[in-house]
Amino acid sequence: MREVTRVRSRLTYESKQKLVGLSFIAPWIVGFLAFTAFPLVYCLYMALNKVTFVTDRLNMEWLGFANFRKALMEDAEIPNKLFQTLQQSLIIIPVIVVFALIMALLLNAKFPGRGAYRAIFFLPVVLTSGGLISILTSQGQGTISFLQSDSAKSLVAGIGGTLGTTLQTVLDNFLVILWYSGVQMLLLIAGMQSINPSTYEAARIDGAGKWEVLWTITLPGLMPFIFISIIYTIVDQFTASFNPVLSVITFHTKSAATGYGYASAIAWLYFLLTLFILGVTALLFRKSLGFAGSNKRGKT
Amino acid sequence: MKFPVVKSEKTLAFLRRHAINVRRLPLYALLTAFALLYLEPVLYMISMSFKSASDITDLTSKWIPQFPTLSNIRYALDAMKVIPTFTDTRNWWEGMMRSNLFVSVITTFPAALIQMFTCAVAGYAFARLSFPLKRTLFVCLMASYIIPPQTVFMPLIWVFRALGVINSPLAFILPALFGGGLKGSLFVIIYMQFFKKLPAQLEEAAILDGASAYKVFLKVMFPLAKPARITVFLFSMVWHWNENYLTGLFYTKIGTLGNALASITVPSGVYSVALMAVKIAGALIFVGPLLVIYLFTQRHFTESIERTGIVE
Repeated sequence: MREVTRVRSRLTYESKQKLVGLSFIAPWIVGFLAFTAFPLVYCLYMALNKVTFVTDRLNMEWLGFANFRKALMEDAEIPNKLFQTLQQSLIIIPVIVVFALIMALLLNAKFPGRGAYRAIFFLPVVLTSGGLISILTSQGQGTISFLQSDSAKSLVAGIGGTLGTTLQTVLDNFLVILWYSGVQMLLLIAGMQSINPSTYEAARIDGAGKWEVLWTITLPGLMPFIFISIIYTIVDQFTASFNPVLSVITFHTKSAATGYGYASAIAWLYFLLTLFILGVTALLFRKSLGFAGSNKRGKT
Repeated sequence: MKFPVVKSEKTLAFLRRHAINVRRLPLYALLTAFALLYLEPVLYMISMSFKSASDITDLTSKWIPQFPTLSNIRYALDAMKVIPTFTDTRNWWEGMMRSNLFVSVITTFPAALIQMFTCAVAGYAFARLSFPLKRTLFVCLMASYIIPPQTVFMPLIWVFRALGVINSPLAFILPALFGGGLKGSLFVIIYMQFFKKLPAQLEEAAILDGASAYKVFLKVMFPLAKPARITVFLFSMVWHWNENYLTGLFYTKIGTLGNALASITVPSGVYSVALMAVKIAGALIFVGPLLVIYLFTQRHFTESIERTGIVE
């Protein structure tokens, strides 16, 4: 008898805790349902319909997957733009992260005047906005004159092939790389600070050189932070206003012939592409993150 | 071959110090080169804003204008509707909303302040409390971070229209009240990581003293989250100020500074150079407030993520 009451009282305590927890998270759930889940699902529903406006009311005509089929098979522009985005991000995202990593390594070293350099290098965190960047690019700002010079261009063209075009893209987008790596730099410096100094101490005692320390301690310790930087960069680049797919979606929203349904289908394809890239990234980092994950579980 | 012999401890120490400095030179050179790359657009913007027409065409005055003028700034202030206009003295609010600067301010600061609190509530729940479907909801949190706004904006506009918040800063404030809004899920994640790191004894002690979970949060945990609060507020402020895409969708009758800047068009032709100077002056007006705030708070930016431990 006593056993039963004890069990029951523990259960009520637990459910009471859950109710308290629920009261904390309830506003977020309401907001998520109203401003994220509903629009996302409704967007999918529209993608499966032909949506027309009849005197300010929406008229839905069930199409099934016709919008998706049209976007992928008939409309040459869509797969082209999606592929272009994918290709560009495959080049730009690693370059942004590697650049941020190198800069973070430099800025993490202790030297006089570090604070001033950091203040300048994190300017992009404040100033990065699509409008501003397009104004500055139109003025030829942010491109580096010696990288744009004829000799540099002919040198790059001389390399040829995929490597040449990749380099060319990187050079042309140098401004983007420079100005979209601010937050990642912050993240990676934070990561370097989180590595236990005694690990470095031990490595030094064991006679490890600086280069060895970088490869065997700093980089493996940074893996979760590199992963987060990549995720941040992907989301940042895919939601940036200069993205080519965005303008296509906006165009079809306004077009009478295709309308919201078709635009929604493209928007969903775009979302799936983002998910795909994030998924591939997570898979690539599975090993290094799995290690970090088990480490964390051990700690708590 | 003979090596120079070091005579005393003093010279040795001097040489050692010198050697380290010399070794640092490439680092300084590299960092300075990149720092100039970052500073150049900012300096260019400032210089160009004060250039008169003769300065722009004069190739010899690259940075410092010989005949500085305020007319670019004045034209830009006018074109971007920075100053409120009151045609009807009875309706003060409408007059203020005609100022794009006011719309930017009224969009940015309330939303940032509200997110600073509401995202903390949700982040605390994810970090410390148990509730049904926690794992599923966590996946939802991550998903809402990665959903591109382009995917959901159309139904979202209808939701906002039904709620009557289109053309009002409430379009940003309302989702913020529920711990969402612009990058809201990222802020929830930041708070979650912060609260996870705090020792459990803090809460246990308060609960032993008879405090309710709400009191623990309001009186102990939220005040402790100062680094996370600063991070979230500063980033939320910056991102709301720079937001152009969503404001362009939700504000059709009013506009923010960013949208006004984007709508200044520079036609090609005789006046294009002079008009470009106006547009650049507009850009300076747009980023000016952020630059000033950054000057005073840059320590918080550069140290913010370090202290919150955003990841791990």
